[in-house]
Amino acid sequence: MKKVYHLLAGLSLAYSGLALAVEPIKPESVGLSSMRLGRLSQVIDQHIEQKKIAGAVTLIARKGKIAYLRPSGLADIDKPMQADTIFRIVSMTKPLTSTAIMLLYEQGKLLPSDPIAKYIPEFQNQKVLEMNPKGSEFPYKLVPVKRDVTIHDLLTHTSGLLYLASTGWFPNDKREQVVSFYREAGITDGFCRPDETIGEMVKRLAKLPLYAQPGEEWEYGLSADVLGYLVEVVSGIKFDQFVQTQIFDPLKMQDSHFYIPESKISRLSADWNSDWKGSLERVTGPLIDGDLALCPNDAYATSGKYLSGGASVLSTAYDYYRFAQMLLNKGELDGVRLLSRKTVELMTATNHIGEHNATLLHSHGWKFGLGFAIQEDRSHNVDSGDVGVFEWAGYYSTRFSVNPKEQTITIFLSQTSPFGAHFGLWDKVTALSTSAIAD
Amino acid sequence: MILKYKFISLCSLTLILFSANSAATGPRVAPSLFVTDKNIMYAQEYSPFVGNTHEQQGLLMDLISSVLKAEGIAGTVNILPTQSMVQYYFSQEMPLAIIGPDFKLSKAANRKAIFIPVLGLDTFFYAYQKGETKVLDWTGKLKNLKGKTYGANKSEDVSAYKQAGINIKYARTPALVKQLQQGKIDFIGMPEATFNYLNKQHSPEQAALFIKMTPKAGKVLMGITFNKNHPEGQQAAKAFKIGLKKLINSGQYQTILHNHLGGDIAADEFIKRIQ
Repeated sequence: MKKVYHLLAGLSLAYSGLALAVEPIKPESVGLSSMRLGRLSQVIDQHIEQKKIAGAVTLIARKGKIAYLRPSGLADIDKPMQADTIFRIVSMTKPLTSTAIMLLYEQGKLLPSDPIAKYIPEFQNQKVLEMNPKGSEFPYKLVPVKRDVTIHDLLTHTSGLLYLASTGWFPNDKREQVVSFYREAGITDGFCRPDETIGEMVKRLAKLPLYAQPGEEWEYGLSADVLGYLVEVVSGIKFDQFVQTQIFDPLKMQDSHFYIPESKISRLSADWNSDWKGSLERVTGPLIDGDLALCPNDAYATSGKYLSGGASVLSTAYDYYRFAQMLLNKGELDGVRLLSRKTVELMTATNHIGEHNATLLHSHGWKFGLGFAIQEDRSHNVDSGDVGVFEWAGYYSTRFSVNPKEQTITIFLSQTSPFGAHFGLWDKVTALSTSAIAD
Repeated sequence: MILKYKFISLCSLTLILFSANSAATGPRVAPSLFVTDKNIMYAQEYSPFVGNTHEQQGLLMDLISSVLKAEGIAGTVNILPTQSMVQYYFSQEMPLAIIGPDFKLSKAANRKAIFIPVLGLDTFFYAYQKGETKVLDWTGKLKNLKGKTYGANKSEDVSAYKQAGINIKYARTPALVKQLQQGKIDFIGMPEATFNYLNKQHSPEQAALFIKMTPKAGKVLMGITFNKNHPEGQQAAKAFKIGLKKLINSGQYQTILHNHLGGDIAADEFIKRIQ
């Protein structure tokens, strides 16, 4: 069985013609079972055979070494998935944005406790929308914030800012009313790339009512987009340039971009629409479902104005592994220290959101750090192997998971819509990755 | 953008004292370190007439702030990105005034409104020229455009268009220009200055392909609406009317128009529209 695994892995890598010189080591050398990792391959291949997904790249690393890097299925029609295929990582952009903020924190340029209005004055005197009792003359009222939104609120998604798409996830009158202001003001979720700068959008957003009082609810939304603009304001550098020079370059993330270079377009995976029952279609246009607007083909644009801190980055499994490994190493990779150990400890501290739970992608038992969900206990539905595991995911079915205790990193990158159907597959990937630990 | 006319020293002093106090004894994050002016005004962002930066506050704001300053009408102007929010504040709270285009206030809100037109502009239809075909048969009668699709703002009154059998698609103005270019709609209507501003911002290289249709499509009035129920509303409205006349008679109104729209515009036409 081991021989078969190595043969398959070898063939897979040979076929991919990897531009990056990455050769996974023998899993057993880092305490992982080849046989058990083979089960993971089987599960992913089954999903491909059943046409639930078109393809994926899966990477598992332990103790600083990649032990499993497996492209499978198709990246595009008649184009096999490669280990260096480029993916729309969408919300996996958010941990990169948080890292950019924490770099500025380490430079003494801001504090998480700072009100955002200190840097972006449009956030002064914000209002929160409250619904009036049914039958009132006017349906809602706007009340002053009890305290200003802070950078910490933005990092932890407790700012009261929404995603428009949340009207479909958790419909209620209040959310609908707040989002109606977003629509009228031309706010978008950033999954399509509007013809304006992030600053223009954020300044309008700042004037609109919040959904909840700052710090009082965990609400996944446009907070990371505001942080992306904050990086520009504080550093004086365009957000993409800041991330390029302060994160991508030092970590040698050579295939990570906000806008794809012309020379790499052929490496970008297509996005696929799956009914999860065997019908799989390559997406050719925008996907609109109520307030959810997805434009996967905007990723083919080689330039543009919009730089979303919550959604814009394109990357590979290997590049994202380098970022995750830096976090796992508490701020350092290959002799380059990006963040201090104490800063990473702060970012990955189990609970930054009090009694709230980060239930959007996970379940109860998951809290939120400064950029990712963090597992608090193992007694709830979603288990990624240990208390303290931190992870996040992206709309087109991408997920990463870091287990500091076991020193493992799991990255699964696919490009499949719609989003919600993949939770089960992701959970199996992390479960099988965890159960491959054999020491 | 926040414009402060009077009480600035007092506000600054209050801010300093309040900040110091918060830092010494209060919570680390104060509710707000900025004092809310009792004479608050709300304006709807509507470039190039109401801009969202101090440097480019826009033509309408330049005219209005000149009058407010000259007449000593104190207040803070808060610029909002949506008409609904401006409508909310006027109907549910007690601002001194609201600034922008016709806000389509409810009957109840209208009863307390004193609208003073400050700027009147002709509006035009714009089409996008694809190849040689004539894109729009516009002779001044909407019925000639039956079956075409008009791009409108959500707040626009489109009853006449619907009556003429014209289809309506709603979006924000910058998105409408884009949709026109993409052939999703057949025509849009707005003041020439708005169109030129948007075109410059979003697709200057396409300028020649957008066709301004004549004759004019209509007229839009913008101005300031004072709140009768505000303790200073009626008096401020009276003072503003006098101040606006003074601005026109002194030639300053015309100078501001020329600064924003260019020297070749007929300022007298603008003045007639608001009279």
